Amino acid sequence: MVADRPRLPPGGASPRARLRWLLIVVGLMALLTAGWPLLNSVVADKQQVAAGASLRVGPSGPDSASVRVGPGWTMRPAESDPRQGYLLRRGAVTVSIGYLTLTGTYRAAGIWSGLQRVFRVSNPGVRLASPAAVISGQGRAGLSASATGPRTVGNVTAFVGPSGTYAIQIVVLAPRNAKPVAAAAALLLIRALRFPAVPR
Amino acid sequence: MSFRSSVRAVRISAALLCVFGAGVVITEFVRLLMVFPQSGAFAVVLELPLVVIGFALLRRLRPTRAPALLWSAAALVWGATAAAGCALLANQGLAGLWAKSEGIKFASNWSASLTAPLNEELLKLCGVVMVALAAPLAVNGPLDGLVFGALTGLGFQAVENVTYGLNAILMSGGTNPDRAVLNSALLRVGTAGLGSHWTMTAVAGAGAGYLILFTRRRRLIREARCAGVTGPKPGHAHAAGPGYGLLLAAKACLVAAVGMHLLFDAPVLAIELKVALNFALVAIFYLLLSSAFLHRARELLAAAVAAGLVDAADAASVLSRRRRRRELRQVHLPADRDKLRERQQDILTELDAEAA
Repeated sequence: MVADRPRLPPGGASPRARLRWLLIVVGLMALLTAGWPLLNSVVADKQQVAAGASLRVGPSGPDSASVRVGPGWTMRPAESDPRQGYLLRRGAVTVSIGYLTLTGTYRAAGIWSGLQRVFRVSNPGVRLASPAAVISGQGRAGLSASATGPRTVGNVTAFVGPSGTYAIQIVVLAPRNAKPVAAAAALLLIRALRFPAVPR
Repeated sequence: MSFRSSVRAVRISAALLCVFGAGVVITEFVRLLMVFPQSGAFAVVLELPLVVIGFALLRRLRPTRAPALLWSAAALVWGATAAAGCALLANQGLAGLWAKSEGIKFASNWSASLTAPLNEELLKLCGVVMVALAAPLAVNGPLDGLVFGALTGLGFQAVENVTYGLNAILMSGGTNPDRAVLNSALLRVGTAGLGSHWTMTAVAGAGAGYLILFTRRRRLIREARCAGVTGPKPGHAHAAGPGYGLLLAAKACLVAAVGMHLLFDAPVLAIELKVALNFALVAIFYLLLSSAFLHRARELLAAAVAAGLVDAADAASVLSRRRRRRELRQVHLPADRDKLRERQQDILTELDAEAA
């Protein structure tokens, strides 16, 4: 029992069998890693949003918000989640509406520096101007700043929810030649934002 | 192709897949790490106790001796790199398909539980198979598979926790990045850690162990037939019967692991209950496998003692870490101690292969 130390256990895989298993493993990994993204890329990531549809964002209950969108918007379902936010498009304008769960209780001014850093992560090379005060259609105060990049322009707006523990961030981006369109879209969305916890 | 070159091919492929996976993870988060370097480092540091303690504890799960350090580390690294990186891409693809085909409300509730179990369990399981192919003596049966699976799951879990911590920075608007990372780590390690990836992959890994037993038994039968032996090959405990039960057990383990993962991610039941369920399942499974292994090992040792192949004194101490250490302490001459240690390890190597 002790004398001969086997390099292979009894019935251990032969070199051919080992290579066959290696091919199975590599093939399976390639299938999952490349297969799903490939299949995903051939299915259109575009869904028409009905004019006047109200998109609710965040958990159900008072700590949420909704945005009523106008005609002509499409949604990218793969990048949208009612709990976390939506990615919308109309023509050359791209809009992301994000729900942010804050780490404490904040006012709009208190979250801006963090938002700027997060914006840099997803939009490298796009510079944010100093924020200015804005008022939502519901009369809630927020902050908004224009965004300028080498090829894109747009606007970032943030409103803290009534509880102070969450915020809604609206990022509008468009090619440089579509600046007025982007500004108009941002204005419409700011007006259309509603917090259920704010009394009518 | 020789044995040596086939093993080398496996090891090189595994290393390349780990590099690829690590590259995917780094590429995915590099911009975030550049903007939030301190919080990124904090997210990594928070996982270190989980990795160090988990690694040490999981290696202790093998009843007689810990698996080889190199291959234990390889399993951990596979989970942290190859499996985690490939899962990022695979999950994005499949989750996108759910959202497009079933709508965003359905995807919001069910996408994670219908995506991650399928992709992640298979990708992590590949790590156990790769270890078995790269180190033929490392994985001999379900118990070894369970330990290597748990280690692979632990590596995956640690990297996933880091990525969740980093995503928490974004989802909190960067307001207090360190706190977002800390909250995420507390939830994922403190609340969910005991019943997360390591438990699921432990079960799937045990399945890989059953599969290895099945393939070895089939090969032994084939070899016996070629040699003109009709009955089970003498001396090999697993040479009796084709072992379709082993194949069934392998499939059941994979299905169970996917099921555990699905339930874990599903928007039903409290997370504490799901964690307890996963932990209880793997604990019971481990106890059953471990006691079966020890029972077979004692039988084999008794047979070896009866045949005069092993000293009765060695047989009495070899299965217990503590008794082995005590025996070694009692030997004063270093050369004799080394001989005894080598003898103990030789016996254990044979037992690992035959009692698995």
